[in-house]
Amino acid sequence: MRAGAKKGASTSLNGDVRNDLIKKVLFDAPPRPAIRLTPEDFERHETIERAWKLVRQQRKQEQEKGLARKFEMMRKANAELEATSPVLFKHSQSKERNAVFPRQLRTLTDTPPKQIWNYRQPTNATPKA
Amino acid sequence: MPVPRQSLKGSAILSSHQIRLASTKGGVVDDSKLQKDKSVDSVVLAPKEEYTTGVSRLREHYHGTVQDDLMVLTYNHSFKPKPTIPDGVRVELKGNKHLTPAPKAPSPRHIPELVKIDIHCMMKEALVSKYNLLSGFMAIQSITGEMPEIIHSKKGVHLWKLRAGNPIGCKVTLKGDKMYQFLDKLVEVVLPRMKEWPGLPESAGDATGNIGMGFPPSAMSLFPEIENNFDMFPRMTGFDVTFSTTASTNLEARLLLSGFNMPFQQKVRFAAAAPSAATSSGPSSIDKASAV
Repeated sequence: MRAGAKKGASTSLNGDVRNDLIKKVLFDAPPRPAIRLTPEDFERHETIERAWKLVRQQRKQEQEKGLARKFEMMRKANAELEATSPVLFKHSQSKERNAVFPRQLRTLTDTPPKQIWNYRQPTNATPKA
Repeated sequence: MPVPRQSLKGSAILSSHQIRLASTKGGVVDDSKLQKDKSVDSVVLAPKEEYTTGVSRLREHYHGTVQDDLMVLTYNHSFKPKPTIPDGVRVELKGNKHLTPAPKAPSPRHIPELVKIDIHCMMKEALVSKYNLLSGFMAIQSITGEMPEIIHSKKGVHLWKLRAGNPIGCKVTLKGDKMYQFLDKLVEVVLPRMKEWPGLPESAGDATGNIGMGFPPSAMSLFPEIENNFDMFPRMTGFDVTFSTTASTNLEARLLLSGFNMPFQQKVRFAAAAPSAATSSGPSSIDKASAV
């Protein structure tokens, strides 16, 4: 036994070898060398970044224009309904308290799913056998 | 002499004359090397905080599908602005009601959007030895791809053997692509595998548009990064996840999250005159709803 070591003490952190490895990977790994660019390379880098930022900006502006257009149409429709029939307008404004998107909502994927549509999914309306 | 370059706002340039220490994430600036390269005037790139490199599936889904629908679903034509409270005036509401931020007028710019996700884990084992925190730290880093920040206790509690300034937990904030990636993993992989998890409650949310949820230690092992080398982690720990949105009400926040396929418990409600209803009222079973 090493001098000064208590009986049963292990060299790893808290007695677990894995903690040693984790600590080494997280904190004791040598830092990556900083990326150095020549002035020409830096100009290229900045140009590319600027171009990409411009593309994103243009896309965002298009999107916002589309949304603003739809919003304006919606507002006009609501205003017209309000002017036409107060009863119908009142009914149109009632909202479901706990509205959520349906569970079957499908997010974007590269390829279609294995099962396109589940025709046999039991719903609340189907009578139990 | 090189012409002074106009840099993009937000990009960090270190010229040979300025020495700025990089963040903990990037490489350390080597002072000695910089002095040598004075003649070359090369530039060091600092790492970016947030990046958008290409297609992010859930972001595209949000901008393509969810945003438009949210605009319609959260529209209120009969909006009346709340009177602003002047400075110094204290408003007290009856009962346990809190003062909520004044709702904004409906506008195509005020559509609920997911801003950030905070993941936080507190480990009681760290009270015994701070090295026990390493497992949770590594796990959270594997799950999110970001280096967490260690949380130290602000006060000491003698009963729990906690001293002020003890490292007790770790947290990380995700934004942008990484945020959407994490949400994707949660919704597609982890949540479907959780045993007997009925979905987020119907009343989920603080009144200001943020939703929080907690995960038991068993959930951590369901992440693909942890599942593959499960034995390398000494201890699985639970963690909590908070979704911060620009929504102003609980309803809006829930609508937003459900747009990303986050399941919510839905109580089956029937109209008063519906005698033919066969199923009993109560939370609809999540098992029946198959994940598409």
